[in-house]
Amino acid sequence: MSGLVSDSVEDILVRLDGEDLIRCKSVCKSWLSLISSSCFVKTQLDYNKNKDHNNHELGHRRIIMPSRYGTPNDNWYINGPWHIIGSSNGLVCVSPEDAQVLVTNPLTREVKKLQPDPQFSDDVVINRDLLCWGFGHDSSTDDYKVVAGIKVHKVGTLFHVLSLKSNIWEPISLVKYKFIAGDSRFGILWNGALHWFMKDYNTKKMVILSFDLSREEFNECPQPDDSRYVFDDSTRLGIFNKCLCIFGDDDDDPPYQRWVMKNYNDKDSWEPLPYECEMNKNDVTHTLECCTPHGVWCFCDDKRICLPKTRDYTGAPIFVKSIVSPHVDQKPKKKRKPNIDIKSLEALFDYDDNSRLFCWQRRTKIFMVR
Amino acid sequence: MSSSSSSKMIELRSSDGETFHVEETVVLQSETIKQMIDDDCANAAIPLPNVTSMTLAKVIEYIKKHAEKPKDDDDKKVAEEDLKKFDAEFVKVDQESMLFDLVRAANYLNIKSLLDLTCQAVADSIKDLSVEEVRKKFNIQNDFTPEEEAKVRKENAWAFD
Repeated sequence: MSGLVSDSVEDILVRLDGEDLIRCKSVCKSWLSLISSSCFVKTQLDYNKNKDHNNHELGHRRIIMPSRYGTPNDNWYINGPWHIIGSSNGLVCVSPEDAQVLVTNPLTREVKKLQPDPQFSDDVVINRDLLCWGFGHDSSTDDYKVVAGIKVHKVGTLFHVLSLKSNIWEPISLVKYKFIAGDSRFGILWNGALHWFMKDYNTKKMVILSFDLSREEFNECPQPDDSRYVFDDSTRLGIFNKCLCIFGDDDDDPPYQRWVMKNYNDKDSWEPLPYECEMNKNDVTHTLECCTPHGVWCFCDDKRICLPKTRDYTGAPIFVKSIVSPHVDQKPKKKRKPNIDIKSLEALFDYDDNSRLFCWQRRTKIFMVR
Repeated sequence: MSSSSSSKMIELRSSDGETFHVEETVVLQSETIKQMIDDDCANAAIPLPNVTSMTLAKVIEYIKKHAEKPKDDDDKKVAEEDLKKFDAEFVKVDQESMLFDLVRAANYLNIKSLLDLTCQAVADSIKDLSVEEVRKKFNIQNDFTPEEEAKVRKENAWAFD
């Protein structure tokens, strides 16, 4: 017996927020089984995605770290040693310290600690500037992936991937691109792919490198083909108006430093934004308050951004309210084949005595023969 | 209303035997009734055994208001605002049981916008309620053993603070 409105219980519960939903689990057995079902979790996620999408007063809902000084946070991704790596479907991937990584749903307060990457050497662990990273959903396997790229001196960036279902780091690719420091190290999740501004080692040109989370392929995303478009040190990637965008992190934007790609991967669809356009005016930010004494997460609800200078959050991850669990179903993982040429790496090894690479190389060989 | 004379009238009969005459264009918001009309089952009064006259009167008030068409764009904006206000007032019912009756009727008659509106109102009304209060509101029997309930609560203790 589900009570007065048994046929519409799902329609009602789907509209509740995390805390109320969690409490409703203990109302009766049928509610518990409904709220715990993967089908309901998906329905609730889609409901909230659509609700945000169709809310014309909302720009984007974003997740950021709290500011330590009670003022708007310049560095949305950092609070002490804590870093936000990315967010997808309500899950937030965070690095609490060193190279540790965990995934949490701040609404249900579930936390999953991930296996540390054994290839992270001490210098990577201590100096996070050697890392670029990102987090997103792989729709083909309904899995979530953490991607980490390690700077390899004079060579490029070595990428590793961990899928939540396997909880094992695996090398996937060595790319001949170098990432830029600072907040450009955070992969911008859009259209099932992560995006970074990187420098091509051969051509010395800046590119937008994309990593498709389902196919695990790297590609170059087109940039504006326009003489007014200039890349400089302050150029960043972000999401604006449901499009991938380029913006300047500088106080004094030159007029044509802000562009939006209206249709994903369509070179001709890049359009400059008017100078007076305020980028995050209608955004809502949630802050992830770290570590209470119990090691759980507090969650600050809807804070509308009210800033005179507002483009700071354009690179912050998009958040959606969901009860998706970081403890994904364990299924046999599919074997991954790294698309790395071991021979060429051996050649590299001759002039790069980096122990990190050596360590990784050994592991890759083991991986290749098993 | 001048336009009403040109539209076909449909007769609806509530569970307690009261009949209501509603324009076909208005009543088509109900997918259930639309289907009946399409299947040619609407020549006599349509019986709605799950809906009382009091609830049906409210439903008809709702679909009539939502059938009004704005004349131009300026009017459209005003009408949208007006409709928002109407919806907000509509779910402020004296008796809570009426809200549940409306959810059931909207579900049975398959009127999506009304179901959205009433489900949202119910959801809003259980925000921050204790588990016992939710059970009472929905008339739900607690079928957990004390051990089972303690286990569910323990897993998410923070939500019960």
